[in-house]
Amino acid sequence: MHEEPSDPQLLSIAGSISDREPVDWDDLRRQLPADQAAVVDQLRFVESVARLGEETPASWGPYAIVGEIGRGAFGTVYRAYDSQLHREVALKVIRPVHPGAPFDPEHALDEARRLARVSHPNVVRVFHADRIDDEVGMAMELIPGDTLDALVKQRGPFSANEAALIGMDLCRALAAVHGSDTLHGDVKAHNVMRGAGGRITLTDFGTSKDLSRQQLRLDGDFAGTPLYLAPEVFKGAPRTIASDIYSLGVLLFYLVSGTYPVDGATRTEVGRRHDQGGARRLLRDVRPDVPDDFVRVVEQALAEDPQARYTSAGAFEGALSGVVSRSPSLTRVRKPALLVAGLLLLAGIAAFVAPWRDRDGRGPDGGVTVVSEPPVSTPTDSYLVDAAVYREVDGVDQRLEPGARLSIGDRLALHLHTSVPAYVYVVNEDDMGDSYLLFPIKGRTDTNPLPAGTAHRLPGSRANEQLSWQVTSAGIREHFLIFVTPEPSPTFDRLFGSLPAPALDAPLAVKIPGPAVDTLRGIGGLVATTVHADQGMRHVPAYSTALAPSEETAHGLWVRQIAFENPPPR
Amino acid sequence: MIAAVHLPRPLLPDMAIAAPGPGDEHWEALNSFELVLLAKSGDDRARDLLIERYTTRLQRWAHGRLPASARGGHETHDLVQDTLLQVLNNLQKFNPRHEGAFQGYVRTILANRIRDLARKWGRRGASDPIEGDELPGHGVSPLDEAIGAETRARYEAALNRLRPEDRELIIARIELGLPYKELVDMFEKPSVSAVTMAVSRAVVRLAQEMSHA
Repeated sequence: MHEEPSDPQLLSIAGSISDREPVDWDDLRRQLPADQAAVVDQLRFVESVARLGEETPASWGPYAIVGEIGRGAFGTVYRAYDSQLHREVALKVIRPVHPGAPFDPEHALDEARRLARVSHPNVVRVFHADRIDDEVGMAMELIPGDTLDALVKQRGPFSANEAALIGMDLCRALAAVHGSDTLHGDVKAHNVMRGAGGRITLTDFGTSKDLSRQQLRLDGDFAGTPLYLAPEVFKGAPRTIASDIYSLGVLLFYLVSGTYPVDGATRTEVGRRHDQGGARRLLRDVRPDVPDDFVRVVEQALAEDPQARYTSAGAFEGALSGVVSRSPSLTRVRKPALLVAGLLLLAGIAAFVAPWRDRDGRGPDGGVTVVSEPPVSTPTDSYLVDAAVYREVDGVDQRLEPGARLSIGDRLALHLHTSVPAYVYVVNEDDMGDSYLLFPIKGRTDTNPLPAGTAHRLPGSRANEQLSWQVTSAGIREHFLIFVTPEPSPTFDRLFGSLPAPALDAPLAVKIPGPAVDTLRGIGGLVATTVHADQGMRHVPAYSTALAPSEETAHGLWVRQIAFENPPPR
Repeated sequence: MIAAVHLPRPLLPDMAIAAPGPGDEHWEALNSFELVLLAKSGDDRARDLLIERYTTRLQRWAHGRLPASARGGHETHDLVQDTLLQVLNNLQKFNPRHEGAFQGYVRTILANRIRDLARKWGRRGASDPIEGDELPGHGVSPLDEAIGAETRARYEAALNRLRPEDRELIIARIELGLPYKELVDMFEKPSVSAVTMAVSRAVVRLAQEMSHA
């Protein structure tokens, strides 16, 4: 036990820990022989102890630091608490590597600015960015869950179907990123989170760059992780949309195999193997069991010639969706053409809704779209709308965030407030294609138009009973579509009037065993809770939307979609 | 966790030091080892100076090891001062070889106090919240959040199995973040590079020890 440690690499790592210098653990672990890997893993823990000795700030700006999530050469990501909005955030604090090191705060703020341009449920949201002295802080959405890399390491490779579905979400994310003139530049399994509800989120825009400002760099454009870097970038070409698509191809390759198409211990070695050509692994060789279509789609994304890859993230997604739809195990999920999307198309208003309904009819996990040209007369006056979906727990309404996980039996309500009398339609649709008109409900006294300036809790009430919508079965994912218009709309009355309404006190599907559960609808029930005279609404609603902390200004038709996970019981 | 405190054999059992004159600069020039020896002989000024020096140093250390709800500014400060007083009141039982040993001793006592507090906190449960603003994760210390309670216990056990000097070097540099220059005097090393190498070796030994557990 007491012999002098002499391994220069281990001593060097220990020195870095002692000096509080950043250590690239993943890279190290790959370079060191297996017998040293266990020691390196322990050194990593020792580093955490050393970091703890550093002064972890109690706060940063308006945020109270709760703990550290991770750190790298860029700075540190903290779990922090926003005391103003009463929510946890991931706070990335970017600072000089060491005191006195060159540091450009504007460059650090650019990351936040680029991220702020992107609004998509599969892209992490940035709430706030600021500079304090020589530090730049970015408050972002905190996503409880695991990185895809951690999931592969914990559970082994994904199935081709699951990888394809993840890939589709990431294609949508990349389409939004590229659509805002930004390159992500570091798409990899470490930078993708799978939230507790299954939501896939692309994170870390630390190496992103503006597509509109193509800088020529004499020293190459090597930002990003070598294993995910496109071959042309190794040869000195700038990163492009095609290189992001290549990286996503590597990610899918990794998800199903746990390996990389081109491996190597160092950046130079990976570059040399790209040059050799023959060192490239084929997906078919490492996963002989995955469907041919999946292999073809991934291999095209990994084509050496950037021109041979998909021309856009959308094209890549289209190819992946073909793989998924032909997969027998997923046919049932993908089959239904969502009814509401169809209805809207018939009504000629699909164009207004397109931003939040993709071509497959699957919507994002949450989001708001203010539509400027409704299928109703267009009033010139603006009005205010606040809406949020709540779950009733022990008589108290608790606000649901997009992507929240629902369970059979959950009671849901919409809290809504408008500054003008409004005609409101609430439609529920699940991934099985079942749709319900949750509001207005024929025969109930709460109906359109809803009076202005009042806090409404929909679906409303009956005598002294407060009604809620109840989740009566699993529906994979539940989409709530909320339409608000200040003008009466015969078109909507006609369109939505054909949808079934939830039944009062419907039986819960949880009592029905086996596959029958999956065939039942999602939020098909309506339940009542007695409200005591002095009780009223026990929870004062925050009336804030999922994406904006304050109410929104709308003109004409206002449409919002919010989705929740509603997986079948295990 | 550490179950027992290692009390090293005194290398200089009859070492004594004369208290300097009343000028502050003379007192400031004394290193902590000299202050410990003076405090042992009953010098109150040496005691006060030791408390002053170690409170700041250990407060930061304790902050990362206390559950969020128990690490307000006053609580951490009071805990550290209480511990230092406890140690200084029992100095007769302790014969440090050098300053690093004294520091390691105080840190061990403090770690035990924190462990007891954490247990007490665990028994209180969520239905008995501490007053004031509560943050999420209030029952978990930053260290446990960073590496997990199991790894923390393995770390402590491995640390306790190391040679005293290795353990004290790790406490001084890795845990307390003291500058190498200070460590040169503290551990009576010939140079900064010597103490740097000694720390690196101690860290590798610790990791090897942890991996064997």
